Amino acid sequence: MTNISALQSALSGLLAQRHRLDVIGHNVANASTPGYSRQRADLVSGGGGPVPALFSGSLITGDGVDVAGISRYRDQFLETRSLGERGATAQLSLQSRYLERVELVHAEPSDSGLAASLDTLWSSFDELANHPGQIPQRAAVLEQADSTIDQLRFMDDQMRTLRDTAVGEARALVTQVNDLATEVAALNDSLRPLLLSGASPNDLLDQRDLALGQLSDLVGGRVHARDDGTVDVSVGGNSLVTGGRTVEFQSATVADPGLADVGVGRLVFSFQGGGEVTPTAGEAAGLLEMANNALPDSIRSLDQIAESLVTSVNSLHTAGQDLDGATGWNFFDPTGTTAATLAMSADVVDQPRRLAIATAGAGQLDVGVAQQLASLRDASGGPDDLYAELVGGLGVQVGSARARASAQESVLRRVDEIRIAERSVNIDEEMIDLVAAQRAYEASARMINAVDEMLDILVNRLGLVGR
Amino acid sequence: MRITQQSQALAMRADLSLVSSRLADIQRQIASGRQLDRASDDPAGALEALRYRRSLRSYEQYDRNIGDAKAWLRSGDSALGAIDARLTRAQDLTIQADNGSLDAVARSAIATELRGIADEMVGLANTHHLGRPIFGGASGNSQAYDPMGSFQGDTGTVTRTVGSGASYQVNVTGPDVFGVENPGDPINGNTFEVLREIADRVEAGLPAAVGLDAIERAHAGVHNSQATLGARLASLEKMESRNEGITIEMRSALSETEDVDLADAILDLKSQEAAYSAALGVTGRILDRSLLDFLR
Repeated sequence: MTNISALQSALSGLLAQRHRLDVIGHNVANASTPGYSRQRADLVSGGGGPVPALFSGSLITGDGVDVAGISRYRDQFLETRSLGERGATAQLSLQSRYLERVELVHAEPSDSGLAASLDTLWSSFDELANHPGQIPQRAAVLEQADSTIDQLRFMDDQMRTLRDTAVGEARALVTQVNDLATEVAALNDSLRPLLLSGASPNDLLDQRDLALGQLSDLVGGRVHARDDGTVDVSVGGNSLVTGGRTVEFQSATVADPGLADVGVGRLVFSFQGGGEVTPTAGEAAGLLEMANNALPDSIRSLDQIAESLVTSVNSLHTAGQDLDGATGWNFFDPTGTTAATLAMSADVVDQPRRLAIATAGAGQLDVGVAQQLASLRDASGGPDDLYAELVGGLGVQVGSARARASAQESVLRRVDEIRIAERSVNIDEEMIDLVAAQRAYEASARMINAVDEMLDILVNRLGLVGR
Repeated sequence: MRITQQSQALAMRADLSLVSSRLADIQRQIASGRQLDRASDDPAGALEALRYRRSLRSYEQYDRNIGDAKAWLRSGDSALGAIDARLTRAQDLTIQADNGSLDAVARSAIATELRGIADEMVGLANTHHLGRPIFGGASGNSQAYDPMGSFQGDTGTVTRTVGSGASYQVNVTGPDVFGVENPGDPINGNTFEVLREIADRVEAGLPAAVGLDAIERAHAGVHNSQATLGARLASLEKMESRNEGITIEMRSALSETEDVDLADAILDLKSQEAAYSAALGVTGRILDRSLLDFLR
């Protein structure tokens, strides 16, 4: 080893430690950047000359240190697991959010919900039975029936609005998915040459991870990494991103006989030029479930209540006799058997005398039918029973959706805690590294000093004897 | 396991929000006084609450029906009382007229009073409750009897629903109380015909004793009706107090299902508060420490 080569080694030490400091600085600066993976300068000792020289008799010492690359610390297994859990979490929490809004429309048990409104309607028949000849009491029954109709219609309207919201959200989601897919494809394109040239484009890789995470939230796609460092993303078995190319994701509503009874189309996702795609996770899957199953079911339940109300009341009312001895009047419009079309019959609107509450053939002030109508409140399988069933069923559904969502969220949180701990920056660690790098830098500098002093002896103090 | 500032912050944020959401839940329960706010809080409890509420509302209506039924029965009873008094007076007059020593003037005075009683009783027979003649059955006519004492109503029943499936008749009809019209043989006709016939006989100086039996029959009709109404009123009152008992039971059951147990909730609040402030304290102490504090 020559003094000059020792200087070279020391210089390589200075440079390497400075590089290390740069990386530490980058880490510390990004300590709270979401999606950042901590980085390390990989130091390797420079070996001796690769080929032993023929006459070199001296010992081979290394020639300093080299920065081989900058590696990115993350656990691929946890990263993949987290993507999967994110998709499931997004789906479940979206479903639970929607169901809670459905529950809010019902707002039971309360004194102002549909149950109370139905009760008031039955009571108004009873009240009329107490005062059959009085027109104001008759008008009050019609008034109350109107308000029950309004309430059912309002609830139906709310469900439909909620469904429209789901379809609108699907449309917005498609735009977001396409933007993210384009971003991933673009990053694939810029990463490929960099990775092939052996560079460490760590920050671009982090950016791509972030975009993939967001895609997972939206459509829960599968990510497949290729050897050249690019990733492919597929949704429901069809590819969304292949290298630098994307296929446009689309949403639409199509006519469906299964949903014709509630008068809405089916929400579908597809790829441009391809068939229907069914995402199995992510918000997209949740939206499909809500728009095509849960919300139509809620509307159907309301329709059943409306139908039961119309048929049970009308069958008694048409047999009854009004204040003027006529029979055969409908109370509700018999053609309106859904919550949206439920209406008073034209027979009785503004015609309180036509309320047929007397048993046919009995006296004018008989109230047999009114009492039967009032006792519908206890009819098994009647509107009240159907509604109680609906509220109970919905309660169970919302409760379990919420429980599943929160269980899934806590799973995701556990995974994320470990995942983020693995990849994020620990300031203490960086500080220790910083101190170590600083000391190593000082040591290298000291080395130069030492060599310098040795050269000083050699050059300036040697050979004074003959001068 | 590796810990970093970010993972620590993530965990702390999640834990703090969990504790504070529990705190908010209890706070909401205490403020609203209800532990069952949405059906999903407790689906079985919600169904129970729905059922209780439904029953309570129907019992409220039964209560109103009972009130109305009692009013009907009472007005019937008081009309019958007055009718009974008038009949007793008519009986006295008939006995007096049967005494052969009266002159034509006295007899005509008695006849006039008897006719007056008959008119008065037609008035009583037309007693109204809330605009409806109580002895008129289910008919829509505004009077049960015309001024001549001829029945205008029908024999329909007036009933009130006073419990689930329990229906009470609250009226007695004119023919029940006053007998059936018989223009061909007025002394065997209804009470008004009987009284007028006796008046005619007294005026004409004919023997009136035959009328005493008829008045006795009329008395019996009134007494029977009074007994019927009285018995119904008594059992209705029993029904009412039973309904009240059921209502109170159901209210307390509903409150147990829906309402929050304040003592429990406040205890819970205190312990959650303690947990929250402990969590905040620990978080605060951990987050502001790093190696930087000790490096110089």
